[in-house]
Amino acid sequence: MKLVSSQNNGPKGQNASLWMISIYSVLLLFLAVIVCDVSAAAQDGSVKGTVTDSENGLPVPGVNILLKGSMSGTITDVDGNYEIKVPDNQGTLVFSFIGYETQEIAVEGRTRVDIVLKVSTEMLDELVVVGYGEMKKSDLTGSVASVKSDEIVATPMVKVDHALQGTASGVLVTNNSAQPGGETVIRIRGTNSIMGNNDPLYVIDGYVGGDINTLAAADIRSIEVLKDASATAIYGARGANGVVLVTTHSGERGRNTVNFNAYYGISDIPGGIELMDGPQFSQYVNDLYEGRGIPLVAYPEPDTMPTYDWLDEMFNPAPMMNYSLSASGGTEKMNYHVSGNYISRDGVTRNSYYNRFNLRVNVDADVTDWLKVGARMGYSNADRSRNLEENMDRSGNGNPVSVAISMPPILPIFDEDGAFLPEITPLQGAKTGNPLFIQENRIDYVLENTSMGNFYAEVQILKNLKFKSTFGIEEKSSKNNIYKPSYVNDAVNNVDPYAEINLWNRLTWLNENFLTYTLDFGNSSLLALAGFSANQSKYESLRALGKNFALDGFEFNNMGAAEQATYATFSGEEMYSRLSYFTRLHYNFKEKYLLTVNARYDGSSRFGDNNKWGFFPSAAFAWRMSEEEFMKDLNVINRLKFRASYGVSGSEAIQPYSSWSLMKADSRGYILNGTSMTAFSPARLGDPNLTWEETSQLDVGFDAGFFRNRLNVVIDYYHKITNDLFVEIPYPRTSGFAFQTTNIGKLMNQGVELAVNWRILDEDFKWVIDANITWQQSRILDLGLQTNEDTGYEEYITGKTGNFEFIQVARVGEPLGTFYGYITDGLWQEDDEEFTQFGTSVKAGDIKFVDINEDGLIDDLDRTIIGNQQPKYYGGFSNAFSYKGFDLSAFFQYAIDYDVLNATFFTTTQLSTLNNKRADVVGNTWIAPEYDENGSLVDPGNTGAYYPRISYVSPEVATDRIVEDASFLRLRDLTLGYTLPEKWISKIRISTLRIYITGSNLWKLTNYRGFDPEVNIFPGKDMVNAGVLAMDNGSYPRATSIIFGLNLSF
Amino acid sequence: MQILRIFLLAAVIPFAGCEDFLEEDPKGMVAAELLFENQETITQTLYGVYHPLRDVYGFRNFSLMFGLTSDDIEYVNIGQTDRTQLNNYTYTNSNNSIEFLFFGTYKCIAQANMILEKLPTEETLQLPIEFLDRVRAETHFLRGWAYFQLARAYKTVPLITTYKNMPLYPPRGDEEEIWNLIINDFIKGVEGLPSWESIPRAEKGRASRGAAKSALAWAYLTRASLDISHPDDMEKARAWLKDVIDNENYDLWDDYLDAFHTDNKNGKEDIFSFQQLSTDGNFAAFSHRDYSPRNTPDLVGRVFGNGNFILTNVLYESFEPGDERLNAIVCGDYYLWKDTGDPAQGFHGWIVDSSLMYTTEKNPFDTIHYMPHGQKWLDLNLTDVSDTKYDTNFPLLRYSNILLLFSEVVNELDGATAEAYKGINLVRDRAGLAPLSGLDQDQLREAIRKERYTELWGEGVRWFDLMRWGNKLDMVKAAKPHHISGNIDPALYTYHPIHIWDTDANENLTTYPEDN
Repeated sequence: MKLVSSQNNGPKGQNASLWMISIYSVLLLFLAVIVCDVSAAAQDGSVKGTVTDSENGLPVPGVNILLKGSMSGTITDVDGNYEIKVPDNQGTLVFSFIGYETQEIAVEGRTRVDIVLKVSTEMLDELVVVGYGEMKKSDLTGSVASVKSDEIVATPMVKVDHALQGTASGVLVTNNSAQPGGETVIRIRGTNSIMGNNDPLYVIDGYVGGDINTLAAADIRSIEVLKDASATAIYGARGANGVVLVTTHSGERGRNTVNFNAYYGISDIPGGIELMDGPQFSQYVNDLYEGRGIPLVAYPEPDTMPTYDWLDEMFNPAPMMNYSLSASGGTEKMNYHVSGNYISRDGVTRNSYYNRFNLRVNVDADVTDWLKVGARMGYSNADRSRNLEENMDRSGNGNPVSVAISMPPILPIFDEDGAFLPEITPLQGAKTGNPLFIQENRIDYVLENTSMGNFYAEVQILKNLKFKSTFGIEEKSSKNNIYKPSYVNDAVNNVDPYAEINLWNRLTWLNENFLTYTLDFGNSSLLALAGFSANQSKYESLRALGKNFALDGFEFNNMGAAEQATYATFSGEEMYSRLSYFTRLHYNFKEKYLLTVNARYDGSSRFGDNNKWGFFPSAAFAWRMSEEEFMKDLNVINRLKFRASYGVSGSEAIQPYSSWSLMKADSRGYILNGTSMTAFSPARLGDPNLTWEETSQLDVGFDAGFFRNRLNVVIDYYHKITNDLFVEIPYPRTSGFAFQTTNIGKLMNQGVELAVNWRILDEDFKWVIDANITWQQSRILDLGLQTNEDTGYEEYITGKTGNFEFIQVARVGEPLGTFYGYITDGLWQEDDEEFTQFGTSVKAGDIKFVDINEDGLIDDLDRTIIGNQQPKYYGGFSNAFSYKGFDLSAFFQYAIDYDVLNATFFTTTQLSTLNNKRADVVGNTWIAPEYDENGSLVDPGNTGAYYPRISYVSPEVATDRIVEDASFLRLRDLTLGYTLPEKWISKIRISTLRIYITGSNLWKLTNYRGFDPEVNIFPGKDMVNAGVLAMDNGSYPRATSIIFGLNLSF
Repeated sequence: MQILRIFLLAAVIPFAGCEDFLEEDPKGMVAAELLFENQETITQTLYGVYHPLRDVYGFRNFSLMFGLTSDDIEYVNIGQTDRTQLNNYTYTNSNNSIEFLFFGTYKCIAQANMILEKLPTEETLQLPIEFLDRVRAETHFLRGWAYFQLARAYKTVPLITTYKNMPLYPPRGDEEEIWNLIINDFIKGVEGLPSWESIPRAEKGRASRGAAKSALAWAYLTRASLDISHPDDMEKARAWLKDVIDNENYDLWDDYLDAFHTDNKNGKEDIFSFQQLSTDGNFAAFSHRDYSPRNTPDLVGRVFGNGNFILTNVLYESFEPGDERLNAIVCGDYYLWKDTGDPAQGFHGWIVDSSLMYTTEKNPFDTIHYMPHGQKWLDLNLTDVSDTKYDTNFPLLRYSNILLLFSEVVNELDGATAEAYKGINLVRDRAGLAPLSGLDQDQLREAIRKERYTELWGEGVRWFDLMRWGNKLDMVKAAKPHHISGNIDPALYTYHPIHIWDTDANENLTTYPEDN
């Protein structure tokens, strides 16, 4: 398809006041333009020509050509040809294209101007997306990290936020769950808030508050992470946790391409926890008998006991695939990008999967020379098994991974025919369902739809005054279907068939309007921006439950057939709105001194009447030292910029209605005469004075380029103070409440970020290193509490996972996410003196707890700090090589100096229970020495063992035995690709064909004693686990995967 | 054209003007004040005082906190460390099974205080004074019951009687004042509550005048055992118990198991109980499953128990031959290996200690492998062996308890008079045992204590009895010699510790009472 530039000016005559409606017709019209070849008559006074590349002499398509001082312009077609109307063939043409130096050529009466564009050495002066606009990278005064599309497509990922993992300094990305579609936690420059939301704000193509995880990776052109206050303050009350700007592909005018990307692969568990086999476990049970003084032997011949590997049966190699097809391009007056994407990924545990469709249409069109309209529309439809974390309660019940770990290996899994036994008789307790059978047969999946459309109109009011208005709508809906058939016996419903539907819908709209004014004073320039924004969101939910169905066949599709009518239906609503005014001034003096001032005035419905509005200013200064005369002669340093910024941003991320003390009706309030009665109880303890959390941030940094900009370094120091922290403090329960949300407290985060990009070799053989490291530190400065008299600290103790409670301390002077518990000192030995631990006299072979306060007892006053969940250093580095058509890249990711509470380790080494144990327990348990009648040693036993005596009941408290260092280095991706030479494929009209193979998570270096150190079983989104990033309680293990893929475009 | 563009700009600006755009309107909830305008919502707010009883008595919480630490039941599974610790008297203030009572009762108290503050005092067209009086009386009774529970468990606790200006970090209150509040609240309940027979069928389960009288008597009797006792406590206890027996038309069912039968819920023997319903997840009963044997049939032939709790050997031995209450006990196997001692069929069970294997003549089975499992929580209405429902209530005040308390009080005041035999012999008669006579005061005291033991096991009464009698730890040690060994934290000899959550959150609150 060959496109010739069109002179059609579009629907100029339409009534402009109906622009909102017109957008649709405009879109349709321009879609029609794509289909039809629109040829234009040659005009008088025109210039033709060809643009070629200075290095290879090939034509360059897509070059922008502008007649200086006018609004008319065009772009080169695929063959590098262009034609532009130039009155009287006089004037200057400006040729520009990303990656090339901009050239200005005087026409001087010619009708043909062929030019050769020089490849730019200053690759860095690309445009970077910032809040409410774009900026040249060299003009930035704030700290912005960019991730480009090639880095995003390089990793097989289900959710796009994984692309930030290890790629941007100051951005810590942790998978909560390695399950497909599992939650990810993203922290930009540390954790600001104890209980508020710490997730960054996502802005998708200008739509503030979009959902990045419903996007397809192939649709993304770039991701910008705004880190300092100068960059984020334009988002005011929502910017405190950093802002992630996502830009999707839009077509390039004059360059029509079709892209097809596909991969297929397999993932599997790389191994991890080695558990006892049947004989080992049987021997352990015998020892446990003996340890408890029971004169019976459970398994007289343990060696003959069979082994059933539950963990192995739970995990299976799982296929994954992804296909995306897109067409993009445009004519002179409009451009488009249309794409479809399908991703399907099975989890390595049984019956877990994630499938998603994505559709996207992006269009921009010049309606007239002063009006531009466009739209970004996306639709996503996901069908996924419910995540492990969603599916279980705080005790870890319902977690298939921990169940599989705990199953005694002597229990058979299958019947004689190889089918799952529906029920098993555990070694203790009543007969229960076979967890694998339950996992296979219990229906529990979620359907999620997201539709998003963001429409804009941009009006050039004056030559240098622009008005832009956007209106966007996002609708998300989710339906969770659950059915437990009658033939499945689970712990909650036994054999009663049970169905449940959870339905919710959230409709959000956003309207933004702003003016942009630019003024050029010759050697300085000014950009001014001002606007306002209105935003509203409504959430509705419905939950229905039914029990006892006569037929299993209905599943969840006929709740009316439930025989048990007492099961209640629940519904809820939640609505919030925001109103904001914002402004920015950017002043550039001689390309040397840059000044940016931002301010936003934000109102939110979530706060009490006295605190509805907040003001968030910031200022930044940058000095491009390399533009100074004294720097110009330095050959080593080509580019040097100093940046400094300070500003305030906020977080309003508390639940709507938090300022109210309200009563809530519960239809299951009490039972009278065998019927559930409705009862009113207090829903929450409101605080009408709740207000924003405010984070002020100082940032100082340098951007530097060395050796003709082959080595680029960005270094930043940041220091953040968050005031008025939302804290849901454990509340004296004598009030009837366990928690109270309030604004107290103060938190500090600081860090140093270093990012390096080094093009070491740049000839035929290319070698590029990208590396980043972040050092970070946090301190709680104030909690608004009284000093605890027992401990002498201002602190509160919180945190819960499984049976572990009070495992964290929030203490002034310590970082957020500090583990709190006991220090141990090996095991008690026979000649140790008598001692009382937790109210019990110790026996030899018990774990020895350290009496911190030296009061002769071990009790809760002996708890101390035993670890921290936030890594001190983290980052990633990659090496990319290419030679001829081959490319090879290796991407490593690491986090250093942090701890994980390994609850799985506890349960698999608790030597008093009948769950399966770690294999390394065998031969490493304490055994008493034996003496004969004369007192001489007969058997030395095993007094130097790590594990206590078998039958010792270890208290369920956090100790330094289970809070362990989780530092790791991971080879996250290794990719080998080959791009077929153009001469082979151009005959079949293909412009690019690349095939590749990528291995993910192939290797890791860690001392962590679990599947994977990057875990968090409970997303840190509610109070009890706020700030919690590192809990391993049967976490979904990270899979190793290998994929084969191809990228094709024509 | 220029004008058009500016007009376009002006068209969108007015959006910014609306201030009420930021108003919140929570549609799913309501401000407390609005609930006090009609009878229905007031009644539903009153049910909100009952609601937290599930934290206290539901989910087996009460059996864990007061059963395992008593001498009537014991935990025979292992793996649940919290329970093992309670059983073995090695529990601490961070034991998670002992935190529910405190929070649950204070939720009752906060809601009750709110009602007492906000309930209109003047009658209106919608709110007749009889209605208001009853709600007030019921609220007082429930608050009194919550403090009664707290004071017996912890000795002293923060005394909170206001809602709007409630103290945030209250210290333990004065024991005398707490008991005065309990007694006054119960008296207000007696004054304003209807008789149990007049409560309409659809509201069975709400507190009645008889419940208030019974609780009041029990409170006097309990206070009489404390340091702060008043000289006339015993007399008052006798008077109120007599009032209940003479005036409230309670009676015993003919058969012991009928007292727990779901058909007889809130009937003539059930003065006040925590209501349970297996189809309501908030109020499902766990007891039957906890108490039934694991691999042998329960009383109605179903095999699905957990065998968590068994009766102690001492309790089992306390039953006299021919006691029909033994019908409420099955001796089921807990671990399956047969007389050969051969575990060839696989490891199906777990022995905590060989001393738990009972061989008694009363045991209807012939092997050493059987242990007594209580069956009073069985829902006898359900005969389908696959059925897993059990709707029995958890009794808080049962008439036989009142009869035995009456005998106890009379015997303490007057010795073994004819009146003193009255209550205990009614209970014995129902159990198919011969009436007692000719005992001296001490003998009758022992007989009453034994009768309370065999009649009320598992109902959470024993712990409080032993506390009243001052011999808790000796009795528990005697019943669980195989569990309790070595040093017991002396603090645990009497009252329960307040959970670490609450002492961490409120530094004015101490784990134990000062003079513990």
